[in-house]
Amino acid sequence: MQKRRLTSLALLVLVLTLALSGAAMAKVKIEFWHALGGAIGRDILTAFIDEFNASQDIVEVEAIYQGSYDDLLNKYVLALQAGDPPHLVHVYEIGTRRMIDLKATVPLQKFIDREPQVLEHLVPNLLSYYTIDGQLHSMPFNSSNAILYYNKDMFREAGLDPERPPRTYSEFREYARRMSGNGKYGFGNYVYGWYFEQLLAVADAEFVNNGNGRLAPATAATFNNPRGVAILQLFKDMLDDGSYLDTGRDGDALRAAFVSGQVGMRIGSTGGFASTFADIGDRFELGAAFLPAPDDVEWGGVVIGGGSIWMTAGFSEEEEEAAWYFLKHLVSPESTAYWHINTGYFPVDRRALDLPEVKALHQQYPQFRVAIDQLEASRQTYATQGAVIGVFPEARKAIEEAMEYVLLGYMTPKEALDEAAAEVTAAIRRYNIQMGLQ
Amino acid sequence: MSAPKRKFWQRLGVYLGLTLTAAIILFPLYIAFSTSLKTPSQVFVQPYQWVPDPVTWENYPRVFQLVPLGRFLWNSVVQSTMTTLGVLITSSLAAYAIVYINFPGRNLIFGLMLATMMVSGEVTIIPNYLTIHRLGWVDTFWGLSVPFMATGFGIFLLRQFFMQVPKELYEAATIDGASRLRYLLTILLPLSRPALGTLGVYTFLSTWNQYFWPLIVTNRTAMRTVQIGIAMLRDSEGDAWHSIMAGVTIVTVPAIVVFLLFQKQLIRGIVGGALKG
Amino acid sequence: MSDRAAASRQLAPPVEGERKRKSQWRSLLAASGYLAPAVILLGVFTFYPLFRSIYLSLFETDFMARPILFMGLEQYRELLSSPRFWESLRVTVLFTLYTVPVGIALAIPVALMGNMQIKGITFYRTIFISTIAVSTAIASVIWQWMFSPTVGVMNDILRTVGLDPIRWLQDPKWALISVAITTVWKDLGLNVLFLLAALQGVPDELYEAARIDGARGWTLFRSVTLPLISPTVFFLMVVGTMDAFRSFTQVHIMTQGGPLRSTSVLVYSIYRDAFINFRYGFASAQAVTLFLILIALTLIQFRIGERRVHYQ
Repeated sequence: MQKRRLTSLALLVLVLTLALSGAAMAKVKIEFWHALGGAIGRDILTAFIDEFNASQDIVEVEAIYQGSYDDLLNKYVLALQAGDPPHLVHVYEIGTRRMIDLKATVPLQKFIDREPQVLEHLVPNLLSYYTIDGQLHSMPFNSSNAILYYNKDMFREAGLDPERPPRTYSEFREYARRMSGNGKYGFGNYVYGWYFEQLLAVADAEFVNNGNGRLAPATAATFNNPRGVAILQLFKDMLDDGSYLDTGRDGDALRAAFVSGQVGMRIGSTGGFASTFADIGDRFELGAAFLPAPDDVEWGGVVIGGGSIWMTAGFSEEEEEAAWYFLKHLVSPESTAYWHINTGYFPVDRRALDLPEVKALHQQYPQFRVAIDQLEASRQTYATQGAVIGVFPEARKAIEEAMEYVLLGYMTPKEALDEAAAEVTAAIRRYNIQMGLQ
Repeated sequence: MSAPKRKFWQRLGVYLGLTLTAAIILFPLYIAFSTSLKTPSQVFVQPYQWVPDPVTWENYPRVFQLVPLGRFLWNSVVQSTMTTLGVLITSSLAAYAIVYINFPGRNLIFGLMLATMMVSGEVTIIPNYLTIHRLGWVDTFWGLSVPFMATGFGIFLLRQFFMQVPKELYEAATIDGASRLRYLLTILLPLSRPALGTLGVYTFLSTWNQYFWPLIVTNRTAMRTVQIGIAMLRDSEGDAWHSIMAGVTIVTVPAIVVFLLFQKQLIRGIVGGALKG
Repeated sequence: MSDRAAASRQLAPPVEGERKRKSQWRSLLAASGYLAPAVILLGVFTFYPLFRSIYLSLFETDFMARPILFMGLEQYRELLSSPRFWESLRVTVLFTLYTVPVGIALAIPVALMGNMQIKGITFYRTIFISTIAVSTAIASVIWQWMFSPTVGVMNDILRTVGLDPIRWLQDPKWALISVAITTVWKDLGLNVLFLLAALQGVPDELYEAARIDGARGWTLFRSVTLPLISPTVFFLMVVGTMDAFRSFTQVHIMTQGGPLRSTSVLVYSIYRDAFINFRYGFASAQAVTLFLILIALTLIQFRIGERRVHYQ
């Protein structure tokens, strides 16, 4: 209760500040570090921030690009050490556990408890990813997941129904085989651990134990379960069929292959929708579909990817409130509609779907809608909530190496994943000791 | 075959060889430049489009619109110039002492300086950032350049060069009563123009090419340097090769200009230098 | 270093006992003025971090790279008993062999061409040195684009001449070679620049004399040119080896150490442990090991090298 009184006091202060600000008070300056490069970071984010700053007299947000997600996290840790961190920091989803263990941020639950209505219309799958131990730690921002992109023209040429994309592994394999030949491949893929994580969730299997690390800190990797093995087996079988183009670790090469019509289907991030449309131009008709599931499994769901925004602890009440004010704006229906339309990231607030501009977009490009349907169709299980482990970057790397061992024919899927799991388990153990989690 | 005719063919062969070598070396730069003149859809055309058709220049203004490259270029110029001057001064002083003054522990000092070349930059970043922060140099040109103002490489390079300068010159000068410092400033350094030029160009360009340090030690966009600009063009959802290659061209051209400006110094300096005499 | 020491001994005035010690002090004093700027900067920005790394390598560290648990030499034991470390070392040595001797061997003929006294040579020379202006990051981006398995120009060339495409960066047999090609290209400018400078320092009279003695072509090169440019070749070898052992950017951009760790050079694994896995103590242990390896290598190079090198 005392806490509540404190925050209402803070509110009062804020209101007073606002009242005075019209005349002499300067806006509260908030620093926001992000990892969005390219056109998204420059055009889309800048326009968004500028508009926000101009629209009110309370907060002045300065958004600064700090390199890739990895670079940014390092910069942030260094800035904490030097005592000079930003108010808000943008972290990739797999950094979640690590950010919690860093113990340097304010869980946003503090504000939610006061203003629960903020979350009322937010997509539950998004919230559940960032809610750990009953606390919402950070605000979902650029959220995406993986989807199956396909080339409808190639479907037609192969005598497949472009309106009926594959749903199961065996359909998937069969479709790919029919589109392959003459330098073309039914399916193209690159060595990227995130896709494996997504397919594992679709098969409703967990990545690590202890409820994917959500019931208690995980202690062992479990992705070498039969579902995980089946994913790599599928890739290997398709490679042997001659219907799988492997571009190694080069995601751009895969994108080029898909866009140029060399590859019939690929898995990709929904965050790349807008740019994929731009790249394809009028070369062919783009289709989007749910990710395929094993034949004998009820379709589970996809896991949220992308990034969320964390608030650094230790700032004044006034600055915290200002940062929170910005975060609320970030997830307003209008803001999330803007992000959705310009990138393909999810509209975080469901009410955005009823806005005319979003409706118009979905009318014109139903593919955007598929991504949302896929997320809504996802069942809420520990598998689809996504794993939370501190050593996620290492785990992803281990999966990627396992993929290479299988695709290059050095190991069977089972052998490769067992080895990767042993490695990740060792890393988790070490991490837990390091963090005193055991 | 008559002699003049043979000479003609010989000469033609020489020029063919030169041209072929030059073409191979320039090839990747040509690929980067020609890609920067393509539209997104031309980038993905199969088979590869060797000459962009049609040519588009729109990627260039676009890059400047995406990233404040003008400001970044300026920052890089200042950072690289400061670092280069620093390296030239510290290296020539240190190398001079090592070659010309017979002080105890000389080999040890030189060995330690060489050893700094073996420390990988990755481990120095965190402690150095904290040092710079303590000095209050975050977001300043000092923070960007001071840590690189002395290098084992520079001292090693100048030591190698000074040792090739005939010792008699030093003896003659000191017998004439010139002080050590005067010998360094009036005789040795002018003689060493080519070596200093080489070291200068090398230092300038390697500073120009830094990425991680400027990223760590600057927080404001206004203090960022060009290589970060290139990284800003890369997109987590897929790269726009045409924009990146335009950025690559914009960033590489000033570096080539610097090199062209100093190139005459570098090579002619040696030809006309007193080394032969 | 022996002939150097001899040369300087000649310079020092002959002195005895007390006077000798006094003059030693005086020379040290004189030298320290010249050495101070370099010593202070290197001390603060290289040696201090180095000692810090040695210290941290004895600890388990937290995210902030602060020591939390003393482990003695445990990190080193873990490192030396890990097959990954030896694999990385092997990759690093291979990468050094692919880039340094090969790079210099390719640069020498290019520099000889650039040193010809014919019309228009300045133009060619400029081109030969031009890659000096290209950063490692940019070279990596360009070559990654050229090596693209789907729309890359390299495979387009192979197809045009009727060869099978190569999976440059995807095939574990080719990946390290592809990264090495990028590096050799990038370093060519610098190597040629240094060699040209050395070649132009060779007095014409020496060539004349050798020609009169009947030396031509290869013999001339072996007996006159090579010995005279040997200090530069030695310098490039030493510096190139250090650079190759510390390479990281190419791998980070082009392959991330894959496929199948075939390009996971030592510094890439240091980077991953320090900045991705936040195991700073372990990364420090690797960095210190790398430092010791480089010291040993350089000492060997000086032992063998400086004896064969001719200083004028």
